[in-house]
Amino acid sequence: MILLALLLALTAFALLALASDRHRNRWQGIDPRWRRRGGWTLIVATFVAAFAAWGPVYGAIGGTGLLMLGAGASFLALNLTRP
Amino acid sequence: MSKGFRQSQSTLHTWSGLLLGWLLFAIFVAGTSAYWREAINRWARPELAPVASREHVVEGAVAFLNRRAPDAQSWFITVPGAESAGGDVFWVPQAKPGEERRRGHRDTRAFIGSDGQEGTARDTRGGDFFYRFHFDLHYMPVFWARWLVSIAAMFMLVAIFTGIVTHKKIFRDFFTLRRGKGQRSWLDGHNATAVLALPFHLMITYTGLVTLIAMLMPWAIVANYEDPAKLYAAVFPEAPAVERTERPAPLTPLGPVLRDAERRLGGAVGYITVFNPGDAAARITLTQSGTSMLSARAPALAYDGVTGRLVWRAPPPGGAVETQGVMVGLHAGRFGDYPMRWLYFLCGIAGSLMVASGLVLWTVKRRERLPDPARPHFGFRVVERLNVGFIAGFPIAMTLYLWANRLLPLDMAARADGEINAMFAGWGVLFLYALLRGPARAWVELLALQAVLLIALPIYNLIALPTGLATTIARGDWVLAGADLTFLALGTGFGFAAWRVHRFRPKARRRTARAASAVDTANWAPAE
Repeated sequence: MILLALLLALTAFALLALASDRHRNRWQGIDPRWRRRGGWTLIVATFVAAFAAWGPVYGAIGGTGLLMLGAGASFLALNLTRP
Repeated sequence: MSKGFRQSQSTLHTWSGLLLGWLLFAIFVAGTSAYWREAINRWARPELAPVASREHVVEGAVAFLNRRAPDAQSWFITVPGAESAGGDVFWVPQAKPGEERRRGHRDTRAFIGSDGQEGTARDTRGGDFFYRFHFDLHYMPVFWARWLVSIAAMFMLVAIFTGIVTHKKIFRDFFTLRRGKGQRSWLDGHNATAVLALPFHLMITYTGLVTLIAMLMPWAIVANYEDPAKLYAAVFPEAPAVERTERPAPLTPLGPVLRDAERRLGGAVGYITVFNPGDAAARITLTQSGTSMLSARAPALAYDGVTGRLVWRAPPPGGAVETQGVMVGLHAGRFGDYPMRWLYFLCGIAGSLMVASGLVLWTVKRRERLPDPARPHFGFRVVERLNVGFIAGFPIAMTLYLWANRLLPLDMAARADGEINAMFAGWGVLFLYALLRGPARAWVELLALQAVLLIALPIYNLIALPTGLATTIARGDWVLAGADLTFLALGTGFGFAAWRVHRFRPKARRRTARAASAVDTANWAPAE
C-alpha cells in the first residue's frame, strides 16, 4: 500500500509538472488542463492510499512526505533531462 | 503587496539567514543523521550481534543486575528495539549517609548484548553523539548551547516566512530549474529545496522550538506551578512511591509482565524501571516506547514487583502535555517505519541543502556587484571562507568521527571522548585550511576529501571487519548494510559536487567599467 501511495504521488507530480508552463511542451499527450486536474485528483488518491497504509494519524504525515518526494523526483527528472 | 514590503522582507531574509546560517547548517546535518541514531549506534559497535529476542535481553539484564546491584534503590532497563544490538541498564545505589548522589556515573551502568550477557563493545557514543550535538552542541554548557540552538531556530523560522514573501512566483516557478545560468541557477536550486520540502521545514523548525518550550517561554508554567516538583508530576506522572520494607522477596519474572503491559498499552515498551528490587515492596514501571506512538510523552503502567499484578496506570495526559508530546514526536520521527524514516531523512537532506545553497547564494549574488572581483572586500572573503569551513568542513568532521570510531585503539582510555575530540580537532585543521587556501581550490579539495572518506568507510568495513557489506547483505542485516550503502551514496554525491565545482569555469561576464581588467578566474567560487 505504501508502494501504491508512492506511485500515485510520483504520477501526480509528474502530471502537475508537465502541466506547468516550463515543461508542458515536452509531452504531447493529454491536454495540459486535464493534466493539472488529473494531478490534483492523484494527490487526493495519494492521501487515501497513505491513510490505508499508515492509518489516519501517520497517514497524513506519510502522505505529505510522499508528495514532497514525488515533487522532488519530478523536479529533478524533468530539469536534469532538459536539453 | 507593495514593493517596499517585499524588499524589506528580502533584506531580513538575507541577514537572518546569514547570521546564524552556519550554526543552523551544523544543527540540520547532525539532526538529519539522528533519524538513523539507532542504526549508527549499531554500526559503531560492529562486534555486537543484532537483537533476536527482546525478552531474552531483558531477562539477561535482570540476571546481571541481580548479581551486580541486588540491593540498589532502583534499576533502569532499556528494552531494545529491532534496530539495536542490546539495551543499556543503569542502577541507582542506596544512598549512603553523607554522600552526594552522583548522576550518570560510569560504574553504575552497563550494556546488555543480544545474548543476554554484559556486552563488551568498544567505548563509543555512536549515533547518540550526533543526536545530542543537534541541540546540546559540545564543549559548552548545555544551557548556553540550547539557547544558541533556539535562537538559530527562531532565525530559521524568520528566514522561512520572509523567504516565502520574497519568493515572488512560488507556484509558477515550482518546477523550474534554469541550469548553467549562474546566480539564477543557485536561486532556483535554493528555492526548490525550500519550496518542495516546505511542509517539512515549517514543521521541523516550529516543533524544534516546541521541544525547548519550557526553557524559551516559561511564563505559563511559572504562573501555574509554584513547585517544580508538581509540574514534573503533571508532565511525567509516576506511580506513588513505596517504602522499602527490608523483607527480601524474589522479583517476579519480567517476561510475562512485559507481555501484559504491551497488550494493555497497545504498543512496544521502551524502558522498565524496578524500584526496591529484591524487596517485598518491589515495584515495576513500564513506559511505552516512542517508536510505537506519535506523542513523545509516553504513558506508563506500574506492577507489583512480587506478585506481578497491575497496581497503577498513568492518567491520560492533559491537553497541553499531549500537544507538546505530539509535536516533539513529530519532530523526532521515532514512530516512523522505514519508509517514513527515509522520507524524514530525505527532507533533512533537502533542508541541509537549502541552508547551504542559501549561504553560497549570499556570495554568488554579491560577487556580480563587486567593484573589483579579483580583490573582494574583507567581509565578502570572510563569508566565502566560512562557507567552505562549515558547509564542506562539518560533514567531513562527522565522517572523521566515524573513522575515529573505527581506527582509535580499542583499549584507549576515555575512548568515546577521544572519538569526539578527533572529530573536532580534524574539523579545526580543515577550517584553518579553508581560511588560508583560496575558496575555489578549497571547495574542490574538501568536497573530494569528504567523498573519499565516505566511500572508503564501507571498503574499510569490508576488509577489516566481519561486518562488511558482503556479509551484511547476505545475512539480510539491512540496518548495517543500509548504513554502508548510504555512505557510498552520500560519498558519490559529494564526489559529483567536487567534480562539478572543479570543472566549473565562469563564463565571460558583463563587466562593470571599473573591473574591466583581467580577472583571476582561479579565485572564483562555484556559481553553478
